[in-house]
Amino acid sequence: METRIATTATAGIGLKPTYYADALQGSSEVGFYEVHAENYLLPGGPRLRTLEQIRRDYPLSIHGVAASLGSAVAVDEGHLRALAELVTRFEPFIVSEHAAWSREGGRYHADLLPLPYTREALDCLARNVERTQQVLGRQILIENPSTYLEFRASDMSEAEFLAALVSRTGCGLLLDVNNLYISSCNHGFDAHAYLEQLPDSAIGQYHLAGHTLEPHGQVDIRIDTHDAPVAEAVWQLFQETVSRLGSHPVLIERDDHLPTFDVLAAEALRAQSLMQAAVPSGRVQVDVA
Amino acid sequence: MLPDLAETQARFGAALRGDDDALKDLLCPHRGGLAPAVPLTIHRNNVQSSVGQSLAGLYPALVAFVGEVFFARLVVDFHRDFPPLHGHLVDYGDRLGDFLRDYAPLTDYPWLVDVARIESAGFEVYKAPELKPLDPATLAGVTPEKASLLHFHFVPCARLIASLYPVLSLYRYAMAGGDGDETPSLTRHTDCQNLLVLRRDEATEFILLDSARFIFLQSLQSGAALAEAIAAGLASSQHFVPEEALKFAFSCGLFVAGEYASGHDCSANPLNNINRG
Repeated sequence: METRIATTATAGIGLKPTYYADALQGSSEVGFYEVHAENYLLPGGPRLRTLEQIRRDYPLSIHGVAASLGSAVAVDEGHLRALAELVTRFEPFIVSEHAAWSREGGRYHADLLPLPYTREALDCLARNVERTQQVLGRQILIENPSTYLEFRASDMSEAEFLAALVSRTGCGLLLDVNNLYISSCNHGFDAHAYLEQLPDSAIGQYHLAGHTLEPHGQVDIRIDTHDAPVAEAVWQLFQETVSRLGSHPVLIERDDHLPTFDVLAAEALRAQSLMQAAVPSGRVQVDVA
Repeated sequence: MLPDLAETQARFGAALRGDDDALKDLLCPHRGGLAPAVPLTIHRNNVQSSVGQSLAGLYPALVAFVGEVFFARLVVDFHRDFPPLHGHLVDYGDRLGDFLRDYAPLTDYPWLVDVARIESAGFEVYKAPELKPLDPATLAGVTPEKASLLHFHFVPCARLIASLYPVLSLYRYAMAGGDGDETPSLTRHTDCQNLLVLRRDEATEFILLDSARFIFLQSLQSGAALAEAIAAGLASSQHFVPEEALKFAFSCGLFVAGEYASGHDCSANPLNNINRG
């Protein structure tokens, strides 16, 4: 097995079929690629073969969006088995999911829905994270959500909730800086205080993405749309985040209004430069199949 | 007393399905006075957008025919009646063709059902597992008598689709943005088309079959022995040539290696000895 070395200051982009040709050709600006697990939970076919080709040259992270780890019900074992097969096949250096839920009453809601930050929700999420880590045989990272509403039942902050989850399960955290910015603006909490409450040793990856500002009368609401360049305010928060929490692999996400590969690669390069300027990079060894 | 997590999530699900009051006493008032309906609308839109993008990716020709605005309405109605049961959205929507069959706004356009069927078949073969096709040389020692008793299993990357409409012409017309050489006719029954949808190497192909060849392959796929399938093909057309049909099937890699009932003790090649009777 060839071994590729990736620095913690490496930056990657979300891999879409639109970018397959560029990824196969090779890019010095992109340090790794990330895919949504569910798009590759297929029995066979060209999509998997293309990912195998790209994986030969680049580290890969696998980001789940449908495990619904925050559901009151137990995590779907069939989904976990399929995810485990994917992880075994592609040997990603990061596997991540969300502090959110999508399943209830036998239905799947195609969104990352918010949790009340309660002891009971923490128990459910921790149980499902532990089960996922057990089936995959490895640590996973859990991403902070972007939220648009808050529950009366919450008796801790989101940062306290995530810190408790790390303590209970040994999982790591994927800090989505855009999500943090969105939620802090929508709910009026201090993003800097949030960063102070996170266990810095648990941070394993950053996400950056664009969002949309939607005015409602006198109130603006920010929506996590992944359809635009990273906002300048998010870049600033990212810079502060890196100086507080250190350098980690960072992903530029774009799911809609996809620009050319070069545009995303330039954003990845900017993220990498910010990290390299903020702190000396450490090194992480990543196996490449 | 506030409900537990299961009840909270059940009520959230009801809110997503349109019950504006389901979460009323569970949410904190927004600091800026934002109505609770606003965040709920964001989540409803997210759900519809995710499902809609997934379905539009599976059914581009259908979108082209009905237009994006009507397709969005179709997605809402389909999603209401057939919500996804799991998060593998790449698999969501395989029932859309059946849904269209009884979908009142489109009952005057029954051919859209078949357009949806071939699009769904296209994705099924695209994602099918790779299995080694049967090498015809494997059958070299099979006598004509035993060959007539052979049963074949089809590779998972192949589907047979019969349509009363010129479904492939319609599909190609839509995918060309309505700029095809000729607008498909929907008035002549002679325009019915039978297809083999096949993934070969990296590409998905839509191959037109004449009626006899289609019936021959359909018979084999449904479990008929080779002789029965040949008889079905000949009954369909006196011009049916079994040797050519079988060679075509092998050239497409339609049969799974090791998946046939055979005899092994004779030397004649069945491809050269198939009895038309």
